[in-house]
Amino acid sequence: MSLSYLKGFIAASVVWGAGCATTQTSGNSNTNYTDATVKQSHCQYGKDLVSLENIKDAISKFDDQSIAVLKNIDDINQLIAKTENISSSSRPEDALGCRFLEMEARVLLIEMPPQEGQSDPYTSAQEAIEDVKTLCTTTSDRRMCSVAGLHDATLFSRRSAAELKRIADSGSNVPINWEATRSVTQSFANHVNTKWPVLLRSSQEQENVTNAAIERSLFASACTADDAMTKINRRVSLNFNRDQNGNLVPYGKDSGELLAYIAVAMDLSPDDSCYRNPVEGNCRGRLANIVHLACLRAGENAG
Amino acid sequence: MILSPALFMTAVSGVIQLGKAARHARRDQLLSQDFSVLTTRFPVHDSQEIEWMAVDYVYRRRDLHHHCRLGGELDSLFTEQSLASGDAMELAKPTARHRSQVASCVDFLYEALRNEIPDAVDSKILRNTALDPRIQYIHKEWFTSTKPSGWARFGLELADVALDVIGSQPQVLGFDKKAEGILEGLIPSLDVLVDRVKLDGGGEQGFGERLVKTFVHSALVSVSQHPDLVTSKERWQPVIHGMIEPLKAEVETSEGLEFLAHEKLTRVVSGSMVHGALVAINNNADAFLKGDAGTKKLMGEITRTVLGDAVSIRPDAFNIVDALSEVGALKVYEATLKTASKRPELFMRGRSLETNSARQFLQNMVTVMQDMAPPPFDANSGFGSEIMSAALDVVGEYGTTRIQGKAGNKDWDTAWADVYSHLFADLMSGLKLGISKGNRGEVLQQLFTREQAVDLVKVMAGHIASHPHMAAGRSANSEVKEIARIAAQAISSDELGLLNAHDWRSVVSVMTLTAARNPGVLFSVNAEDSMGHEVGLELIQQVLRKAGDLMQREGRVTGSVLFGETLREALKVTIKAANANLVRVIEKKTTGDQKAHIQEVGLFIEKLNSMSLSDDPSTTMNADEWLFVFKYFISHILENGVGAVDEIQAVDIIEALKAETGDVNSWSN
Repeated sequence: MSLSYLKGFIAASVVWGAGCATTQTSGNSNTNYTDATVKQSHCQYGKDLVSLENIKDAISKFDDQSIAVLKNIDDINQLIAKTENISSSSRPEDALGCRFLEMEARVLLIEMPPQEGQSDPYTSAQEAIEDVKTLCTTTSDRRMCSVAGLHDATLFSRRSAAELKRIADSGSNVPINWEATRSVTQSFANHVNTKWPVLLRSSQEQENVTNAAIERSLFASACTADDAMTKINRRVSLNFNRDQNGNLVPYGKDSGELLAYIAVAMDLSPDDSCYRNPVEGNCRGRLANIVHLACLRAGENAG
Repeated sequence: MILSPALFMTAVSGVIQLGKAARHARRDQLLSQDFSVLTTRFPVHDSQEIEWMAVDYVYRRRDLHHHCRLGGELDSLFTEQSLASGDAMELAKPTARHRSQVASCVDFLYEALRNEIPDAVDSKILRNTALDPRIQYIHKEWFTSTKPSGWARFGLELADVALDVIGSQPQVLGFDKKAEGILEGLIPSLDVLVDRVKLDGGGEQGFGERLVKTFVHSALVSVSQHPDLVTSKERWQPVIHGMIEPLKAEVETSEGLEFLAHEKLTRVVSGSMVHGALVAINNNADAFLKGDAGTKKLMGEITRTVLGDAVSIRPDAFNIVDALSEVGALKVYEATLKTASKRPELFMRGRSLETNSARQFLQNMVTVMQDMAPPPFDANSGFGSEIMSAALDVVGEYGTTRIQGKAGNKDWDTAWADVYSHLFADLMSGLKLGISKGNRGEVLQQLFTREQAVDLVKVMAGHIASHPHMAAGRSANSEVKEIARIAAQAISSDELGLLNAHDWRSVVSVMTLTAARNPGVLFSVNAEDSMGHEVGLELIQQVLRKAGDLMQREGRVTGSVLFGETLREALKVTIKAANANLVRVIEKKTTGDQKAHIQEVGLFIEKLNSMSLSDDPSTTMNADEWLFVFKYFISHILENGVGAVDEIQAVDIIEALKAETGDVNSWSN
């Protein structure tokens, strides 16, 4: 094991330079939320990493991440513009570092809604992740590759949870777009049902900082979604719950199914009696409530 | 699978060979920078949100719905349609009981929270929850997260060491694999130096591993700064093995105090030691590598002798670092290596190795510095290592076969250590005594630079050591001590600073050599001797006194030439002439008569100065002419004493000058 590891290390190290030499830019020419004053200087990994860490420090101080991102939006866009602009004379080995920084900056924006005339932050972040992952087949710095894997595993869930949160936080006088809300919820549920078990299984098989981060991030997204759906259900209860035809919108079912799948994927239930058919009415309610309780406990712990 | 030294080598050198220096430096930078990743923050619920969660919780609990039906405690909370559906929660219009019913929901929720969160869930939640959404990706943790075994981890850390050096010294890559030469030299020693069993067992890195890393780092830095040092791995291999192995053994035999030793030794070994060893080996390659000195063993023994003692952790052991500082210990180490390259037999006897003599010598020298040396050679001045290096040089140069023959093989080891350390002890105590007799306690610091002061001692020691009768004693030698005392007193007498350090070195050299060749003639062989054995000092002081009088009376005017180089040569001439002509006469005279002879020299100097300063162009002299005349007549004056100067008329002096005009320049040499 140690031998193969060391061999891998050397091999990765040896090919690292060559791999980076073939790096292409991501092609994300339009930057979301781009300000006209953004400087178009070239990426400098060392300096730009410091800038990124400063932005993260600022964001982490806020309880509401989306507000924190908005407050730092200029700096983030400036960083994106800089990191996606790799000098033609730059050394190949800089490519991965700069792509990594661009990915990190773009991921910060994924919880922002798409702006008219600009590409979806989620799509841009996904492309940036793909760029890094592509480089990671030959790169030696596996930390960056691991982070790309982390984002790849959690991006959809984070995005979905953020969308639900945005819906839940919209003003009470704004009618809920049920079609869109149910679509997001069902899509998220389908994602949890099909993707999470795979992601979390590998996390259990190999404990490392990245897998632990994936697990934590998915659970945080689950709780964000749970929190948002609870608020949406509350709105339903205030007679906004009827569709245009006056029928009750079965959002309790949608949200319950999403939470039930989460409970199964994360193996939160003390027994597996409901795992075979988690969407069945009784099981759905029971499993959803387990997520409820788990998130409440997590929130207490975090607070 | 076991990682072999060969593969280990491939690992480390592979890192070095990755590519251009800049790429490596860059990669190193990338790898060394930690970064954080933001993940989604856990929502922290306020009291209203918890109420919403509680209502939601109750709605999802179908087993609680009987409480929500007519007559139940929650009967006005949900609409009937909502309860019937089970898929769409709908609150009924709030009633007066609404608040209390919501509170009941919260009770249900908290009761469940208390009772229904199984341990597995709880621990998972707690493990995955943190207020700070940042995840730190730290370089080292990332490496260790894949759990390489101890041996492999050590390989990685050694690779890190190499990368560290390359990051700051990228030129190391441009030396045609010279850096690898170091590592190749190291590989055969790895199995000995690194405790693989301990490493693979998951234990902390031991002393050997840390020493290897320190050594590799220092060696790579040294090579990057001095690429000419590395010529072949054959040259490196014994150096590496010879240096590290004995140090490791030294420390490992000391139970319980390894950490202390490691801390100290790492500081000592870092940088200078490796470089010093490489320089010493490189400069004396033939002696070290081709002779019969058993290079590897010799190297090891020297290292153990000096650096083993430097970090000695045995209470009764000699600790050179405390006496000399780390830098000082390294200088002594380098000097010892050089000495060993010239005289390996000093460290070896027959086929075996015996360094007790070297250790004893160093111990004795430290005692000399601490107890006998005057400023600036005392222990607190920082001169100790220079003096010890000079002493080792002298030992290497003059360690005579005569001593060896006299002492016999069996006693040889301790004999030379005693002899040469006593030589320096006598020199130092003599200097101290001489200085104490004058009013200028710090004359050596004031007059001599650090190097000049050490050189002065070395010159004296060299002259003495080159005369076996003076250097053969194994106890205090009063003659050596007296020479040093007189030299110090002579230097102290020059209160006007008529001679500089270079001049005094030259004069003292002649004094010492003269005394060594002619024991007890000009300089006492016994402190209890009468004035007759201080003739040399009296003469020097007489010349200095006259030169001082002239300088104070006339200053720097035409014809006043007795200072600096001229004075120096006059003193040397006087000593030589006295040694040749004065002794046999003076030995027969009383102290009063002896003084009269010496005073006659003073009268002659006055006469020459008077002529030189006069307005008569025929008697005015430049420095060379003055010196020529002085040398011409000094033997006559010393031999004849009272009245000799009166016999020398001005016309005699002028005639002498005319006859020898062409030769005067030769006196300045």
